[in-house]
Amino acid sequence: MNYRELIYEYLDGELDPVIEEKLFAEMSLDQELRDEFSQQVKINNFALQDMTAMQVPSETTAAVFSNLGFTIPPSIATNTPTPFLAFLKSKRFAKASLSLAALILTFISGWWMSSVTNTVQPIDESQNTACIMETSGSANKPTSNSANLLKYTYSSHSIAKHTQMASTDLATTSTNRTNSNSITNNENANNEAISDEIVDTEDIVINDETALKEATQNVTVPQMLSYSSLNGNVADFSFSGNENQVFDLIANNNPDSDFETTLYTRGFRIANELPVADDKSFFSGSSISLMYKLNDEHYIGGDFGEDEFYQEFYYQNGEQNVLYKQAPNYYWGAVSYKYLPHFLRIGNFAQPYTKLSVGGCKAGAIGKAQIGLNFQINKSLNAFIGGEYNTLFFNIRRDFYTSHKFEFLYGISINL
Amino acid sequence: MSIIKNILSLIVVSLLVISCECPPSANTPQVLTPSEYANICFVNTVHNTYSISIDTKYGYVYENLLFRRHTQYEKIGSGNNYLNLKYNIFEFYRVPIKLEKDTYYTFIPAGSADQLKTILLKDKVRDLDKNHSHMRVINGHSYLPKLRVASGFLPEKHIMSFGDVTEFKATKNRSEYVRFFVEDEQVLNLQVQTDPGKTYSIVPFYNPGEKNIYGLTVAVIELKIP
Repeated sequence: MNYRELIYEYLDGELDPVIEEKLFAEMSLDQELRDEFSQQVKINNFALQDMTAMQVPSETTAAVFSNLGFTIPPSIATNTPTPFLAFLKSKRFAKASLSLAALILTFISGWWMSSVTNTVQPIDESQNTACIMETSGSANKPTSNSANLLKYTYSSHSIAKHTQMASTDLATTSTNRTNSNSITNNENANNEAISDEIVDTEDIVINDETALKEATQNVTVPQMLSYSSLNGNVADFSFSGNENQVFDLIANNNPDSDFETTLYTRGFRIANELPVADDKSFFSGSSISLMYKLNDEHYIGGDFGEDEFYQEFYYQNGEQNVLYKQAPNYYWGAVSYKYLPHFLRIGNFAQPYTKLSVGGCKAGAIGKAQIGLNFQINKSLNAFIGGEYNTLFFNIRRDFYTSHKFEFLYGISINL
Repeated sequence: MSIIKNILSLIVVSLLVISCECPPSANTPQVLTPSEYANICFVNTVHNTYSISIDTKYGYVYENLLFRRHTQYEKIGSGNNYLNLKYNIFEFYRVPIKLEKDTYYTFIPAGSADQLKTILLKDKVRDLDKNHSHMRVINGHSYLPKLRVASGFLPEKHIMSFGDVTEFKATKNRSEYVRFFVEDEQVLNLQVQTDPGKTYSIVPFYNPGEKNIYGLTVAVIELKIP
């Protein structure tokens, strides 16, 4: 009996138990056979380790089987991870998919915001055209509820503008809201299209501009859509309920509001500084302003903020005339004037501005001159960057001192 | 336009007048720079500190002055001031001082940080003869009741307690011997090489690392007048 071959069979798990017993009986007597067995066990272990470490590409396996004239056994085909599956499991894929998801989310949110913006059309009040708007419920059956009230609050200002929406806007206005009540147009361009009749319709698309112009010539604004109705039928003025308009309420407050709130902070400053700085609060360097629009180019209002003011002055301290250097944080307030020269407007996205402020903090009076660029994000939201020259006037025992600094600042402004 | 200008001017003036905080009293870190100065020389003989830092009303005069070392005359704000001695971040001694403008001082903290004794001397170094070297002895050893010092420029058997100081005396030789005795036992014999026109302070003090049983060691300080 060739015991060496029996060892191979044993290691492959193919040895008959009876013969296996004989093999081990022989090994107990034969040192050389035990050595051989030990050697083969080691080789077998190494081979197993190598096999587990080695991943044969599925293409290679398929090619081998193909050359041999076989198909790939299902076990091999399913157990061998393909490069694609390996890629799916990799961290790189996870990162890539996350990035892609973020990108898609950004595009969707951008599209959503832009679509929301479009729902509130700019109004050209010079054009005396008829109105079109969506209403829910009816004048006779007010469906006042909290949601509608909320929307009503939002829409109260813009309704009047919708009632005078330009015909061009009407022609492109498309409503896709279910259960919406709308003033309909006549697709065949007759002159009786628009009324305040409540129509339950799924989709109303107004696409015939000429017809619509004609249709809207002699139509008066229905009472239920005018301001006078604000006292009464709340439901008449509510937009149909969806999230877009709630978002409008938050982000798209009122593009034509006369009030503008600005939040801004300082990026860096060019000023004298101290090696020992004051403990700054989180809001140090930040400001808020509320401006009232006098007209398209002129604003007036107030600013409030907290900032660091470097001070350098002499103070008689006993026998010494001591030079003080300090940079305390002060709250400050100022009245401001803002000018947006429209003739300098850069396209539709950038508008230069300048702002002058005069005010004070508890150390003295301050003056600020700001110049920058306003970037329109949407109708009611702007971002801006700018530079500000800032002077603090203060007095020490009737000696007057000034402190100057230049700051780079940036922020956002929202129409209230 | 003139109305607006007047209103703005009124606002500015009003704010200036009613500004409610006097900036010097602002609760904020301040950097104070005096306009008048005195000069002070520090000798660190605080034996249980590795180094000390000297802070004043106007900021640090010297940081990390090692034990047995001394400074030159350092500028320090005159008038009412204070000296604040720190070992690392720990303040272990603070004393108010009043310094005269353009005057020279020597300040010697001695002993241990927890039982500190200090010497502040007004140094009359301006009117010394430039053709001779001058020398003086300041006893900075706070643990010896009496220390006898013998030298050519001193009277015979000059006995000193802690804080005693001799006047600046012109030395007779280029090489001056200064001997220190405790209870008639000579503990140290010091030879000081002097140069004409220079001024020296000899400061005996306690150093636990010294070989003699009294821990007596001596710092020789050449005072350089700025």
